[in-house]
Amino acid sequence: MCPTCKQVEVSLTVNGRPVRELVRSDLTLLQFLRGQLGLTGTKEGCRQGECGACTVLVDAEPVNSCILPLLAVADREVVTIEGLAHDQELDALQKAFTDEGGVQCGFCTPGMIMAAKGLLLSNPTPSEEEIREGLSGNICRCTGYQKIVRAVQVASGQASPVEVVARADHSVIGHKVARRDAPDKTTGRALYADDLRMPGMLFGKALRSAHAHALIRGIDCTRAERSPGVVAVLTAADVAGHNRYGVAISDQPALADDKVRCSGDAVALVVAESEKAAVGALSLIEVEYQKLPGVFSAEEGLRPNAPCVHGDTNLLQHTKVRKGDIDAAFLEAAEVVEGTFRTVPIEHAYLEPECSVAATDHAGNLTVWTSTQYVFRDRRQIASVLALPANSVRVIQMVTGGGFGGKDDVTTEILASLGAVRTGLPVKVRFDRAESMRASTKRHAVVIKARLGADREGNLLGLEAQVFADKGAYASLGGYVIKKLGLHLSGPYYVPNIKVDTYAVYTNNPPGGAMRGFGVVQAGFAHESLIDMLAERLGLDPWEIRYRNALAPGLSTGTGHVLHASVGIKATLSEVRDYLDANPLPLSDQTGPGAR
Amino acid sequence: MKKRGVGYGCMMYAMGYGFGRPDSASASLEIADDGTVTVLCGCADIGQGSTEMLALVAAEELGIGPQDVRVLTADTLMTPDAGCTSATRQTYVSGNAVRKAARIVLDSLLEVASEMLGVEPAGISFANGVVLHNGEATDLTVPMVANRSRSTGRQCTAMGLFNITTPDVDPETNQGDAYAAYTFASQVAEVEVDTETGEVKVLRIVAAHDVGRAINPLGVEGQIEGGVAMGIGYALIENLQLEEGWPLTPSFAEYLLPTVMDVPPIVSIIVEDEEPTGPYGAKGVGEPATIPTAPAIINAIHDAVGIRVNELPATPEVVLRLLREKGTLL
Repeated sequence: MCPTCKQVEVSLTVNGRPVRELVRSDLTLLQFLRGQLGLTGTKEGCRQGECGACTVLVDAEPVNSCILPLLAVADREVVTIEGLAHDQELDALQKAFTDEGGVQCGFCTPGMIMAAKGLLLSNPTPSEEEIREGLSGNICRCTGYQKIVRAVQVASGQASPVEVVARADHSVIGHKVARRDAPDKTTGRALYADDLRMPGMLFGKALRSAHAHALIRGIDCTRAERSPGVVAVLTAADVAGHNRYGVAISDQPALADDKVRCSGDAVALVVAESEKAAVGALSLIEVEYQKLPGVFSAEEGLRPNAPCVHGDTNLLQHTKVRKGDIDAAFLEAAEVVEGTFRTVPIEHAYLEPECSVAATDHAGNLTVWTSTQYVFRDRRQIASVLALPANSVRVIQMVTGGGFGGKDDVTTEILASLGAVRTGLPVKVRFDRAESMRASTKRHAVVIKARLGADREGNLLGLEAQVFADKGAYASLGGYVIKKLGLHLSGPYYVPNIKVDTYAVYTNNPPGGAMRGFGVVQAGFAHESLIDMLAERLGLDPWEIRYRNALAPGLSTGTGHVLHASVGIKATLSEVRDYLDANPLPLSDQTGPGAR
Repeated sequence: MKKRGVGYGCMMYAMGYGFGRPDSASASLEIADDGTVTVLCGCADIGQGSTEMLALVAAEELGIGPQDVRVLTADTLMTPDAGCTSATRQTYVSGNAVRKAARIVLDSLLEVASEMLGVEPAGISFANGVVLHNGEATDLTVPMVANRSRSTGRQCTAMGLFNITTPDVDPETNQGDAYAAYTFASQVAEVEVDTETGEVKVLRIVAAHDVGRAINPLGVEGQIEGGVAMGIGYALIENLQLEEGWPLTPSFAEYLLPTVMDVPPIVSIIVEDEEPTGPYGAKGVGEPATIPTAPAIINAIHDAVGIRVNELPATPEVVLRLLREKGTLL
C-alpha cells in the first residue's frame, strides 16, 4: 500500500448490487472492478483513457474507468459487461456482436459494447453517423469497425441480421458462421492472461535501458531489494541458461549483460508483492553505463566507420534476387520509371498489452499462461534461457487480444518465468502501453529505391531495386521479413528480368519484426506506385496495365516459380472493376471521380 | 477545394514460410461414443477465428454438425505442434492437418458402418450426423457407428500431419519454387483530398481477394475489413516517431490509430480460385488484406490532385507540401 494513500470506505451499486468496501483512496474504478471485485470482463488497454477498452456505464453514461477515480463514483450506479446479460439471456448488443462478426480478438469488445449500450440508452435508434460518433472513443484493431457498426444497427432494430447457419445441412463450409468464442468475449467471460489471479501471485516489472547504446559497467540492486514489498531483483547474473533468445537468431538477451542495444532493453527485473511496489523499486536500481555512439538508420548503419550493434558489421542480411538479364531489359524498355519510397516504423497496437503468468510446481516444472502466437516456440526459448528441459516447460495460450506478428516474438514469457523459478511463487509480468511501445517489435522502416521498365505496349520488362531496412537492435524475424520483401517486389506481375538487393541493417532503434504483411506491405507500396507511374507515362489505364501484366498459370513469380493453379489476380481485377461500374459513388459537388 | 480520385492496389502474397524453413502442422482428433468430436491442435487463435475454422473443417470432413466439434488449442502439454499463427498459414496448414486426422477417423468409421449395414464401404457417407448409403439416409447414425467402433476396441482417434516445407531457393539468385501457395488481391480506393487542409478522406474501399475457398465467409470478410483498416492507418495516420532510438509517440494519445471515423464502407468480394493442395481449396487471407490498401490510397491521391506521395504516411502536412511543390495549392 502506498504510504500516503488513506483507506476509505466507498459504497456504490455495481451491476444492480450494492457494494460497500474499504479501499485505497487512489484506486481507479477499473482497478477496483478488476482487482477488488474480480470483474475482469472490463479490460485495460492503455491506462490513459485513449482506447476505450475499459468503458463501463456510470449512471447510464459510458466512461473510461481506467482514469476515473473510484471515489468519484461513490453512491452512483455502475454497470459493467458482466451486468448486461440477465438470466443467461444475452443483451441484444451481445447477440448482434456475435452474429454479425463484430468480435475478433475480443479485447475491445466489452468496452465497445458498453459504449454502444450507453448510446442506445440515450438514443434507441441512432443514425449510422450517430453510431460512429458514439463509438469514436473506442479503438478496435481487428475488425475495421464495419461489422461493429452493423451490429449496433441490428441490435437497435434498424438492420436485418446476417444469415447465420445454426445447424449444418450437407455442407458446413462456405456459409457464414458465428464464432463459438464470441459469446464469452461479449459477456466478459473470456479469460486473457491479465485476468488470471493466483494465490501468492507476485508481479514482475523490468527496468528498461537508460540509453539506446551503452556498455553496462555495473548494476547495484541492493537499495531496490530493500524496498517495501520487493521479493527479488534479478539481473543477467541470475539467468541460468543461455541468456539470448530470438525467433530466427538468438541475439537478444533476456536481461542485458555486456551492453544495451536499444532503449527497450530489459536491464533488471523487480519481483514484488504488487505491481506498484515493483514499479516503485525500479528507480532504486543503480546501473553504471558507458554511453556508446549509436546508429539510427539503415544508411548510417552501413557506413564504413559506423558503430556496430553486434559483432563487427551491422549487415544482418543481404538478399539477391537475380532473374533474367536486367541490363538487356532496360536497353529494350521504351519507358523506365523510378522512385525512392520511404516508410516509417509501425506499432502493432494489439489492444491487449503483452502479459504472462508463470508458476512452478514441486518437481520444478514450469507453466506459463500467456498472450502469444506460438506456444511451442515460446517453450523452446524459455527452456533455453532457463536451462530447463523443454518438456518441463508448459506454455498455454490464453485468449489473446490480437497479435498481428508482434506476439510472434517472446514478450513477457521469459521475464515471468525467471521470476517464478527464482521465487517459487506465481509471477505475472504485464507491459503497460508505454513499455509495450518501447520494447516490442515494429513494422520495419525501409527505403526502397526502384526502377521499372516496360515496352511501348506496357509489358513489364525489368525491375531493379535496392532495399535498405532498419532492422533495429535485434534480428527477431527481420532477415526473413526483408528477404520476403525482396522476393515480392515484382508483385502479382510477370516480370522476366529482375535484379533486387535487400539489406537488413542493425541499428539502435527498437527491433523490427513480423507484422501483418511481413515486408510485402512495403513492397506493395513501391510496385503499385511504380506501375501507376508507368501507366501514366505510357498513356495506359491503370487497370489495363495491371491486367496485361498479371500473373497467370504458366508464368513465373519473381523467384522463377512457375505457377500452375489458383492464380486469381485477374479475377480480382475484373471483380473490382465490375463492382465499380455497377456501383459508382455519387459524384461530389465540386468534382467527379478521376477529375484532376 | 475537395477533389476526388480513384486508385488501384494489387498484390501477391506467398503463404507459409518458404525457402526451406520448416513449416508443418499437426492435429489430433477423437470421436466419442455419442458422436461428438474433440480436436487438439497447437494452432493459436489470436482473434482471427482459426478455432472456428478448424471446427468447420472437422465437421465437413466427418459429415457432422460443427456444434458437435470442440477444439482445444495451443497448449504445449496437450496439443500437437501446429507452427506459428503467422505467414497467413493456419487455414492452409492446420486446416489440412485437421482434415487429414478427420479423414483417418472417417475411413475407420466407414469400415465399421459397412459391417453394421452389411454393404461395401464405398457407397457409405455421413451427412449431418446420419449415415447415408448411396446418398440415401439409413437408420444408422454417426454416434451409433462411433459407439460400435469403440466397444469393439477400435478407438476412433487419429493424428494428422501436414508438411509444406519447400526446397530452398538458390542462395545467389533466390530463384526456385520458393513457397507452397500464393494468394492474390486487388483493391480500389476512392478518396477525397482537401487541397486547403491536405486532409485525405477515404470514401470507400472495394477489396477483391482470391482466398482459394472461404471456409467461413463471415470470418474472411472480417479479415478483409480489419486488414483494410490497418492499411488506412499505414497510408495516412500511423507513425512511430523515433529520436535517437527513443519513441516520441509512446501512447495512443500520440501514436494515432484509425478510429471508426476514419474507416469508410468496405466492400469485400471473395474470389475463389481453388488451391489444389489447400483444405477444400482454401488458401488464406489474414495478411493479404492489409497489403493493397495503402498503395491504392496513394494512387487515388495522385488521381485526385496529381501528386505522388513517396513517403508514408500521407499526413496533411505531406500532402500540402507536395501540393505546394507542384504549385497547385489552391
